[in-house]
Amino acid sequence: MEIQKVFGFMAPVGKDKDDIDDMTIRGSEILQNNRLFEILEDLFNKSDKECDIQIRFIAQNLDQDNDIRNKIKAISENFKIENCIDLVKSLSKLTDKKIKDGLIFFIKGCNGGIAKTLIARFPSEIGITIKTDESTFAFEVIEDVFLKNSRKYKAVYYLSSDDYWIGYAVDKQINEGAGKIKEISDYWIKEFLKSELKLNSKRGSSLLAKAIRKTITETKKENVKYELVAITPTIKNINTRALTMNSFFDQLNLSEETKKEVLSKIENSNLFNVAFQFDSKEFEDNCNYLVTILDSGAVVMAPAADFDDIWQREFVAESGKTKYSTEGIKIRTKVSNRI
Amino acid sequence: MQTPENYLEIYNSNHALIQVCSKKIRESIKEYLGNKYRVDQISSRAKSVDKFAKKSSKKNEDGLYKYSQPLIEIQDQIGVRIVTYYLSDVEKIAKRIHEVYEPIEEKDKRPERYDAFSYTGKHFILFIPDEFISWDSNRNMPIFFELQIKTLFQHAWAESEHDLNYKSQMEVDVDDKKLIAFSAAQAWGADKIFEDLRKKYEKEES
Repeated sequence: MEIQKVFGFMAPVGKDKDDIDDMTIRGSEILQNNRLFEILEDLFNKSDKECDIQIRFIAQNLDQDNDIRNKIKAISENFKIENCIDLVKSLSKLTDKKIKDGLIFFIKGCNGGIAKTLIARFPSEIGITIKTDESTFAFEVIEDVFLKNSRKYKAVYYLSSDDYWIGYAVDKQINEGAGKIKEISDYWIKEFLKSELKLNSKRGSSLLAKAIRKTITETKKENVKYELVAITPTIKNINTRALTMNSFFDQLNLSEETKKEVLSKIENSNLFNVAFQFDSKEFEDNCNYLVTILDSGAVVMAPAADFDDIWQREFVAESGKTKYSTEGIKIRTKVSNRI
Repeated sequence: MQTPENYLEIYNSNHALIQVCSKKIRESIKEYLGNKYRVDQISSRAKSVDKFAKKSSKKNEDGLYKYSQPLIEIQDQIGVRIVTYYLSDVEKIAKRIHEVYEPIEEKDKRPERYDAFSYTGKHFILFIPDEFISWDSNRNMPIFFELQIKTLFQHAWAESEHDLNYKSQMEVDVDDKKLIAFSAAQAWGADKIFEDLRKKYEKEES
């Protein structure tokens, strides 16, 4: 996708400062012959892969309205330096000394009639220089340095084809380290962008639970079935941090075979790496078993959500009892000392 | 610049996929509600190509098209309706919808005047769940769907009124409009009566 224009601004610390609205926000266009343009072009081109956390704007008052979305849409549809300032101020108002001053860039590109607007924020760093001459050798600390090779940035992009409702985000400041569950800071997503993860916690947890339940019922691989049955009681102990369907299996040290089998039950593979907040109650509601004990000594059991599909119930008028019946191919019989 | 004809062509080519998506959404709603809620029926439809053509070519008073990007702006390309028994069920179902879907709009549609009776129902505009559409492979698919939650009486009134207006060859006169409003008042009253009876008898049973 070809970049049309890039603007850069200094977004100062502005939290708890009363005069932030009157503060002059300085910025300029980054021209194509500038080395910085090349760095940002690289970031823009890589964003399709790197910004892999899908977020959505929260509609304030449930009336299709979100002031940050409105600003981003307005910027994208009329990409001028003065139109970006309001959004830079919004970010500054949330930025405290701990988060530090930052550089914020707005990059707009277009391809096949679809406009893409990327916003990236680089925090300032502390640099150290050495002052040396014939008689002295001294260190000096410099505040507000921006490193050319810094990989610590936050970014989000929006597409006109989504009507700017869906964002694709990354937080390189906290996502470092292989295998870490992807998270994104509240400062960037919740506070600044007034957004949430696109997949909500109940649906993400429910989809995962249903796929596990389906696998337990359908798989012919006993090791997969055992592995899943064994982990279901421990699920409630999973903390409520963000995870993806892929990372869920890694976190529980489940085998690749089991992971593959369960994920095959989820229709859209794009969901495997979509982050959501795990909700153990919703998971349990969708992956628990209903057990009915009869006075005859029988224990009738099936996944709670499928119980009525698996067991047919018939009231026997003469005896006042209920007859349960089902059909299936026996996989195994086991002796257990508990229900 | 796309023309309404271009948009219609895209919509037509996507229509089969939108129909599939609408069925999947309906099934998923059924699953999420399970048997914990009193539901009479859940139906869904993909907006017909003819109706999309009609809506997308609407113009404002200034002569400009009402929808500059109809593929995005027409948010009821997929419509789902849940019909339930009692007024209190509408709220319970709405709460569950909030839990499992992501709304950008929720509206209680009802006449603004206290002494008017007409269409009533709860409407949502919700994100289409990721599991049903791969936007990466088709950027022209809708992002949202419309969900209506109504009681049986609200549903019956809306269907009859819509059918009458749709099939009517002439403008409905004032007296007949009064009759239609009267029937809406009766539906409103019936809902209130059954809600009260439900409260009374459910309490007594428990």
